[in-house]
Amino acid sequence: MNLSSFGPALFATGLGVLAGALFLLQRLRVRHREVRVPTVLFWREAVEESRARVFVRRFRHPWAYALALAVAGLLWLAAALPRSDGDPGIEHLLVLDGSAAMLRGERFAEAALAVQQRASELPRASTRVVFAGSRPLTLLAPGEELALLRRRLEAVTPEAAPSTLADAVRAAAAVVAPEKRLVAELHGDGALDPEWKQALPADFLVQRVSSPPETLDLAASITAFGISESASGRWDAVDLYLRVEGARSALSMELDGTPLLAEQAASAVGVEYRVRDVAARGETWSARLGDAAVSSDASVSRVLPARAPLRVALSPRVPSSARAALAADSGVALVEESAEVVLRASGEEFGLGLPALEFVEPSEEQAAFTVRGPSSSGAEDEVLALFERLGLREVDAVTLAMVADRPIELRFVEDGAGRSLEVWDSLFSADFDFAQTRAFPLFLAAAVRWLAAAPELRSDLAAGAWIPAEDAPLRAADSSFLDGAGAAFRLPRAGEWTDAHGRLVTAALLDPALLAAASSASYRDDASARSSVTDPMPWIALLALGLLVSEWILFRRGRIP
Amino acid sequence: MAAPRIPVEELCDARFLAALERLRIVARRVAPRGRFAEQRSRDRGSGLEFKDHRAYTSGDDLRTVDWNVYRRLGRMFLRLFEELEDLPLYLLVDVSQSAYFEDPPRARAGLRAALALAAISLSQHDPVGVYPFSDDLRVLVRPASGKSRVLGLAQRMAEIEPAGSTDLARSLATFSALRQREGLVVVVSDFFDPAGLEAVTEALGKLRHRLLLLRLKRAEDAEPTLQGDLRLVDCESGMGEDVSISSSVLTRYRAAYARFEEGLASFALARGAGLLTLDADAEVVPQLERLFAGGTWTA
Repeated sequence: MNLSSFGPALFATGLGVLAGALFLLQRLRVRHREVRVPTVLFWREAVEESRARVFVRRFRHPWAYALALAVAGLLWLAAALPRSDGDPGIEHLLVLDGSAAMLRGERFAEAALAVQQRASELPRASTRVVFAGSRPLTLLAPGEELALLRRRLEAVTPEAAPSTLADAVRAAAAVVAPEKRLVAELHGDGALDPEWKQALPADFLVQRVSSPPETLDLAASITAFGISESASGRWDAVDLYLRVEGARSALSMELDGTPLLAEQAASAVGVEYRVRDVAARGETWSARLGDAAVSSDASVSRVLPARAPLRVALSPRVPSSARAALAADSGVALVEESAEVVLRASGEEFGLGLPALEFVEPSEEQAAFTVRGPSSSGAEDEVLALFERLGLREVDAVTLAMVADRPIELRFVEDGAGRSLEVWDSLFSADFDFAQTRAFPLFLAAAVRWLAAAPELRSDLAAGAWIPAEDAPLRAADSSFLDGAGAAFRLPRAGEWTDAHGRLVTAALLDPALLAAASSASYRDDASARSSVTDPMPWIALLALGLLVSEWILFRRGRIP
Repeated sequence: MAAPRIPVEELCDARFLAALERLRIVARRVAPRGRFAEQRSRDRGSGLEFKDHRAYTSGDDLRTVDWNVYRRLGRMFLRLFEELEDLPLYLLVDVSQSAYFEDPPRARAGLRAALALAAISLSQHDPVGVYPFSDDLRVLVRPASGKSRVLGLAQRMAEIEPAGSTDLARSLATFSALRQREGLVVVVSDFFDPAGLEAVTEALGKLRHRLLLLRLKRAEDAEPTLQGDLRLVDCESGMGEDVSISSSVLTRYRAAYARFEEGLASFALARGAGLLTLDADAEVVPQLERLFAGGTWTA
């Protein structure tokens, strides 16, 4: 048992002072009540006999003193707010959900109150309270005064952020001593992946203990929002996509203030809106819902890419089929000078130093497609990504292999000097029908854009989404900023951000699970999950009351004065 | 605050007197010299009740010869008859402060008991005198007989005012100095004399009269209900005693009180005196009836 209000030393000192004060009171001259009696004859005899036997003249009632000291001691103990230490082998964790799911109604206030209550019931020395907002934040460390929790709770509010309940538990579990086990209580409605607990030790007990909301409203939310490459293949245009789930609500869409008409299609998950071939001129696309479950899902905005045609120079030895395909690409401008990418035959010095697509003689060592460039991840991943990005999935490699009588391979060679792509020149000869396939112009277009390192489109921008390092830092409206320190990072919460290029982006939650995943089935107020810590206060109060009653009875019977 | 007198209505009423009619005090023997009444004297005389025979001697009254005896035995014997004399009743009533300060006062029960005994004696033609006492004794009513004097006695008793503290030894000495004819002395008191029980019994032992002690008590005397830290003030002397009531103190108090009761009872037994304890809170006449078992009490 420990004392919440003050330490053992102060408690012992106080008890000593009480004992001394009561002792002095006992020794004080008694103020007698005057009562007239027919005679004092017998009283005098009785008192004289007792006086002769009293050891200390004025300390006449040791039992009364003991009773008074016991009652005073118990009250002093109650003032010290004793708490049971509970099971010393258990570390308690109370997680208060501060995610977007708690933005609805009074859910957060209710959960905060429940956390406060539970924290007061659990042993202070082994209880940690964590706020799981856009990132986990410890509100009360083990051993800290409970009074601090109330003030710190007043300083936090739920954020338009994905649930970080799992992160909070994982972080706490990481610092639990090996001989102890963790009992975590999750207070809130934030979503949890059913699989996430598998990473924790089996004897760790994690339980959502709050009650489910009376109604899980399904107000409208923008749950998907993104830009994709134009399905028509136009480089200078993009397709827009937006999905609204929940109750029907009016949606308005604008492009730099100009209303935008979209195709609508009802699906199983909501209403999908599409706008095709929107010119990529760096304009701001915004959408607003008339009514949304949480404000963060009421509006979204995104700056479209500004795409100028890619400047490509071709050496005279470039196959004519390639020249024709690039000339037909509206996103490519064939130039003589100031090219960003060149196409040349192997061994030529045309556009030396620029990213180049080279046509090479097939040889034993030479793969059909050889990519050179700096690596940012594992080679295998890089090759797979390139395979997709260069559109090679569309190439009928089997047919090519049969004609060439050797495997058609894609090889990645790490090269810090710059990007280049080598392709067999024979693929463009009459022996192969590669130049006649649908995949050919797609391959060429993808190849020159990869060589030019043209930025990829981010399909959406949502809380919890990964942000590439080059967009860092992201600056929030309150001037705080996020930076992955050279690495990609996750957008912690929804809201308005300004990226490194000065572009204003509005991030939505875009995760229907945030609001809907916390279904009633995921709430189980399991009493066994709660640590049964005995609060000694009621017993102290009962004992003090019992002693007072005893004192009263003894007083009434004349056993003590 | 002066304690009030006991009004005459509280001392005496018709029902009270009627309840006493069947009670009778009989003396074992009274001293000769008194006037004729209903008590047996030590003398043989001209009374009505046969007592004994004795041999005839010259000069005896022939009317007293028992001729039946002479016929059977041939010798002359005289029939002796009991001489009846009166039994003076001296009522010594405690009127100290302690008899008056409670409610109802002990004096009320004491005076009613005294009046009851007076009524019984007067109905037997015995003279009755009343002597209230506290720190000294005074004569309220000199001994006189007459059945019609009961109400007069009651009125005189109602005039009694509480006074002083108890000094039984001095009061009894004063009474003895009055040189009253031998009779029955009834002391009505709580016997709470500051001088202690020993001084009281010593003084009582010096009396040459027959003695009846009527002790006035209350239930609280034996089982006090006092609690806490108290300054107990003697209602007569005003002396205070600081007492913190505890179980041990109460135990010792009860022991002291029991010693007092036993001392008084032992004295009465040794002296051949009557002792009746009257509950001051209860009706007096039913309690007196315990004394008059079968309607008669022999002094």
